[in-house]
Amino acid sequence: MSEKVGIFVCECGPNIASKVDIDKIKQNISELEDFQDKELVVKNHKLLCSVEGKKFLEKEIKDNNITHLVVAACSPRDHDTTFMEICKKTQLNPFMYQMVNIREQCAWVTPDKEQATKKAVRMIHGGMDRVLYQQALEEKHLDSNPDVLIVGGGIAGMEAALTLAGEDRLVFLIEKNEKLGGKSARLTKLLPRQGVSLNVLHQKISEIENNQYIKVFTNTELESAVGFLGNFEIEIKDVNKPDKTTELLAGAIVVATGFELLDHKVLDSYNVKTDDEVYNALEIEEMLSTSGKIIMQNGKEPKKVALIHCVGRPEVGYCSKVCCTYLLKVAKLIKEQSSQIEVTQLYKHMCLPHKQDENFYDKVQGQGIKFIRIKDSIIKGTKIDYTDISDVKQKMDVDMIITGTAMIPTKQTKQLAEELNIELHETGFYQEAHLKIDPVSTNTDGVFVIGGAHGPTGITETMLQAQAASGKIFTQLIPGEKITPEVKVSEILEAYCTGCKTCLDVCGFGAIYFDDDKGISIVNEAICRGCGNCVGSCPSGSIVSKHFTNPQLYQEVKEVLR
Amino acid sequence: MKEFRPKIVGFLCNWCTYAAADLAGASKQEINPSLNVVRVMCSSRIDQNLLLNTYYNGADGILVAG
Ligand SMILES: Cc1cc2nc3c(=O)[nH]c(=O)nc-3n(C[C@H](O)[C@H](O)[C@H](O)COP(=O)(O)OP(=O)(O)OC[C@H]3O[C@@H](n4cnc5c(N)ncnc54)[C@H](O)[C@@H]3O)c2cc1C
Ligand code: SF4
Ligand code: SF4
Ligand code: SF4
Repeated sequence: MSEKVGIFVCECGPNIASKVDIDKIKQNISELEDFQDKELVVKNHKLLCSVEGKKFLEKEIKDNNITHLVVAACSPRDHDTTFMEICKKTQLNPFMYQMVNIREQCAWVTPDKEQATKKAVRMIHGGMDRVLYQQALEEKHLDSNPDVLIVGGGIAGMEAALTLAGEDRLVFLIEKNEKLGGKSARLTKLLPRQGVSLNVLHQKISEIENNQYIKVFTNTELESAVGFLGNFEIEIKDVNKPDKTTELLAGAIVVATGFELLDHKVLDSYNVKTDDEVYNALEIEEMLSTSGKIIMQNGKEPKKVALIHCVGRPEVGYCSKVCCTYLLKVAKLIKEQSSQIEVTQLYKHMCLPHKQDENFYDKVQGQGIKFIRIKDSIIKGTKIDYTDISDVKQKMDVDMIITGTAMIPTKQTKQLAEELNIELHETGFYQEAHLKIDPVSTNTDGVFVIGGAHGPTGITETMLQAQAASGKIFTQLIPGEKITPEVKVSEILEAYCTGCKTCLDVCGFGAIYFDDDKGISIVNEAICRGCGNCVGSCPSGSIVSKHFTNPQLYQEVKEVLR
Repeated sequence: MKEFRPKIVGFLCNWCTYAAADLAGASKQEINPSLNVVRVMCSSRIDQNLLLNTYYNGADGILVAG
């Protein structure tokens, strides 16, 4: 079949037409020397992306039997897929087309019309030469599994399970403890509205138990997971009988493994023994929720209680966001237990991030609770040496200390991150794909992170994240629909690969695996994102980035430099 | 003497710098026509072969941005 190159220049209304000389462009590209032996179809149109424009292009491709197509128009970020869809309606493979951005990258940024016209010609020439080196690529459609594995049965995992489960989507919820609930099961009243934590939780747990589409596995951890969005093969194991494993299939994985509290005893400034009356707030919450009040080990009510903020914050290097408010809550509950108890808050910063917090703070202040702003403190048993904000050293002796300690990543975080190929943030929590534009996704497609596992969060934020991840899964794994993995992926040429394994470390998506039998590396096309990072790393030049091959880029570069 | 007009190739990442260049276009920022943009899917795609080849084809400067 002889080559027939179609070049369609879009005027984009006046957007392009008023900034370049369309006729001159058409004339110049028709006369390009190295295209003299090729059959060219060169046309312009007012608005190629309009309904009428699309019909025009489709007809032109068909009628002229175009084999290679160049569309010179706006940014491929706007309309690449529009024109690929048109190709799909014709005989032309969509990868035998190239878009040239003469609007954003030329007409709009080059005030001199003559210069703009010349540049447009160079750019189109680049596209014409490039397209001759392009290859037809075929899309693959893979079956995808809509079911979801959720690791961690705290409030985050439970909320995601309840949101996701339904007639056409099973949820497997695994929890390493014997019961669902996580930290929330140990809390007393919940901020902001002070509903009883256990009531909220029991309602969720019973909803889960009554939901036939949620399979709960307690005393269970993840053993292994391999695969990609839509197709993960998973093994889970019984914590008490590690030999007992079960295999599951799922299309997505949600990590909801929560957080831990830093043990204040590891801090240099804390000289406390286990039998000292020094507790972290979670222990106090538990005491309050089981016996309704705080008491010391001798069975008596403390007369003086100090609550210390920011314990471990300088060491971990971040604010835990919820401790200020839960310490206010705990102080209020102690005052409600007995107004005789002297309650003092020793704080460095007061973090009140939610809209209702300020109001709550005012309420607590009205209850006779003392607030002292400090710079530092050293704890020996229940004796506190602190420096106040005027740099004066002070002493305080109390009956009980309650610490607001930093929320830290769980011990298994690193191991799970390796198993799921997701990155960690410098704080040790899991790293999101993008803090602002993709906050619950990770660097691995199909793996999401929510709740305390993501970083310090209160329950409201945890719920938001659970629902956000569910929304992502709803749109990415539609029951009955196939998924189309990226086509512009990398390929390792078997004959050239020496098996040096360099590329395995380079790929940030874990898309390359080593075939021990053949002694070569292979790209898993369903995982590869086509970034091309591996291409340059291969000492034997055996990796090809499809649709961005060296010859294709060389051609484009050569022409734009004319 | 003819004015020296350097030829520059800018390899821009589709997701960040190419999008930024589009934005510069949409805000009608003037860009010297000596800059010729080549879109790639990630700046990590640019290897020594591409750089050398670009110089070989007459580039006076190369911008890799991602
Ligand atoms: C003292 C204190 C008071 C608080 N008070 C409030 C409040 O009043 N209001 C509020 O909104 N927030 C409060 N919070 C914050 C609240 O506790 C968290 O927002 C919430 O617990 C986060 O839920 P989660 O499900 O992400 O994590 P978690 O509650 O930590 O649950 C994680 C679950 O995952 C399980 N798990 C962990 N690793 C694995 C694994 N590898 N495999 C399987 N399962 C695993 C755990 O056993 C646990 O059940 C408070 C926190 C503390 C410490
Ligand atoms: S929330 Fe308050 S107590 Fe906790 S680290 Fe931040 S400032 Fe300190
Ligand atoms: S870097 Fe190249 S030669 Fe080495 S294993 Fe990867 S593909 Fe093979
Ligand atoms: S192109 Fe990128 S994602 Fe694909 S195998 Fe190479 S490095 Fe990995």
